[in-house]
Amino acid sequence: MISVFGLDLKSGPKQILHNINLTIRPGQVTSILGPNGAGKTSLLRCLSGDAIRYTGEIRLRERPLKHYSLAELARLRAVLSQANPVTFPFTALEIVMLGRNPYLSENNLKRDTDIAGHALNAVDAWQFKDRLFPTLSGGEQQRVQLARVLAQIWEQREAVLFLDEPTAALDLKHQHEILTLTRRLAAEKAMTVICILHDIHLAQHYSTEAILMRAGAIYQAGASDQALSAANIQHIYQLPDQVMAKFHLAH
Amino acid sequence: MNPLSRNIKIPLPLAGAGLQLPALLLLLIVLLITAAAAALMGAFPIPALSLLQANLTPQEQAVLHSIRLPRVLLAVIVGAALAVSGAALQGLFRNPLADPGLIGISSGAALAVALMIVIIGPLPGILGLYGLSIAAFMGGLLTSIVIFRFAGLTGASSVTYILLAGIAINALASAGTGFLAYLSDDQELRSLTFWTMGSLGGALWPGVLICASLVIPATFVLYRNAQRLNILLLGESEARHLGVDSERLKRNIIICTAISVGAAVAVSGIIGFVGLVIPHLIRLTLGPDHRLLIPASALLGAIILIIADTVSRTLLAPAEIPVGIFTSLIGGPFFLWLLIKQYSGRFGL
Repeated sequence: MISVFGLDLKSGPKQILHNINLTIRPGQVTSILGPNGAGKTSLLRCLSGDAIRYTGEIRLRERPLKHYSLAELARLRAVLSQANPVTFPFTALEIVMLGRNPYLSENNLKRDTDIAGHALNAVDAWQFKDRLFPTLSGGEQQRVQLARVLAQIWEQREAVLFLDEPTAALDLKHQHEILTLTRRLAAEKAMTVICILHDIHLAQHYSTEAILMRAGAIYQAGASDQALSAANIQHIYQLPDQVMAKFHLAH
Repeated sequence: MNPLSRNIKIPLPLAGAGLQLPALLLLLIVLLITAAAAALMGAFPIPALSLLQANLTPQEQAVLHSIRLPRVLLAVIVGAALAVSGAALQGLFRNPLADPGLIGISSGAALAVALMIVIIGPLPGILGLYGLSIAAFMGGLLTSIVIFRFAGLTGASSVTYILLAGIAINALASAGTGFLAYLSDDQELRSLTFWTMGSLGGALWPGVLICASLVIPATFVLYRNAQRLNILLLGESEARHLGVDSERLKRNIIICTAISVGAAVAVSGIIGFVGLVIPHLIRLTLGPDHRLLIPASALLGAIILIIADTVSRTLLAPAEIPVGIFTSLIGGPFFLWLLIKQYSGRFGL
């Protein structure tokens, strides 16, 4: 459970986020949508503990986010960023094993390796576990990084998973597989999945909740089938009518 | 089928299991053999048989104790210091082309030493040696901070800018050293030439001990941060997400490499390319995991520098070629080869 009260974020004189109030529940896939520069990534950075110079309060499991140590947070939430370049010749499996860093002190290599394998399998990347990460294609790298992020919170219940455009580099089949996976994780592990998406149709199909943002503020948040209405979409993206006519949005 | 619970057979990854210890043991054995051989070779050869029979002439004993042993030990320490610093810097910059010499840390340290020699003049004894080490450390640290700030401005992955900044810093430092050479008298000039060429010829027991007293703790701290360096390769915010305080880690790496490089430069001048070549050879053969890369680089760096130094003092014996010339002779082409490979995109370098 994540609760946000009166969140403001400034970068210099510029107001990035303005008076954000939110409750995000576990077991749901929440998508964040909005035009470029609406503050989606900034909101994600605040919620995941990356950006700390905000005013207002963010609570994770009823406790202020700022009171968590890095090590505590590492076992509660995982973050998949947009760009994940790694130039050193680690194998895919070794990259996923790095996700087990928060549990290294427990010295359980067998369990960690098992989890890394399951995570690779879950994103359909087991077949290139021994290939060198830098030699994989963009979409394959994206899946391996997702496996690393999943391995980080694999055994936790009610962990939080932040995904910044997880489908950007993926082909159509894997877009659907990965988003189906997020639904499963939310259902089976009571995970809180928070996901920036640009594709309205994917958001409609796979997210249960949606947050629509515009100009650093929340335009509407709620159940995704209601929030992602044609009128809301047209408004936040400022789409002309003839463009809207080309969309086939479920009503 | 349930993708989350499907049963699969998973082998343990290499670095975690078997390979680590045998590889390090092998390197250690090679190091001991090389060191022993190097101690016996030189302008005044010592027969291995008389050493084994503990039957050395007083002259042989003197050469072994006061000349060969400190020199071989210094090669071990300096080689290990440079190779480990190179490995750690490459991890820090997330780029395999970083090297204390190429990015200017060594020349920054050398400039500080030159300043110390010409302006303050040589201090006597232990204090003087430590003084040079501290000056070299400060010079190296200052250069590291400048480069790191610069890398932060342009994005850490932008190695072109780091290397170009290295060129600028190297040019500045050699201008400074050149100016000091112009000001200096004959005695000082000899010392300055020695710094810029890189040589282990000045090896004496006090220098060896002081260098070791700085390099060993710094290397130990770097080794303790090996897993965190692995995590840092994912990116700075990714490292934070995985529970690693990346700011503190970066600070520790910069200080420890500056201490190591500074201590090495203070006793041996600028010996280039060891920090570039050695970690590469280890990565190619044993993989990029810093938990193995750092100790293996230390051992291989020591081995290679012993060999290079032994060649440099026996090839034209009794004359000596500065060892820095040899390492650059091997390292320069290696660097070009790396650039070509990076261009062709293999190994993702």
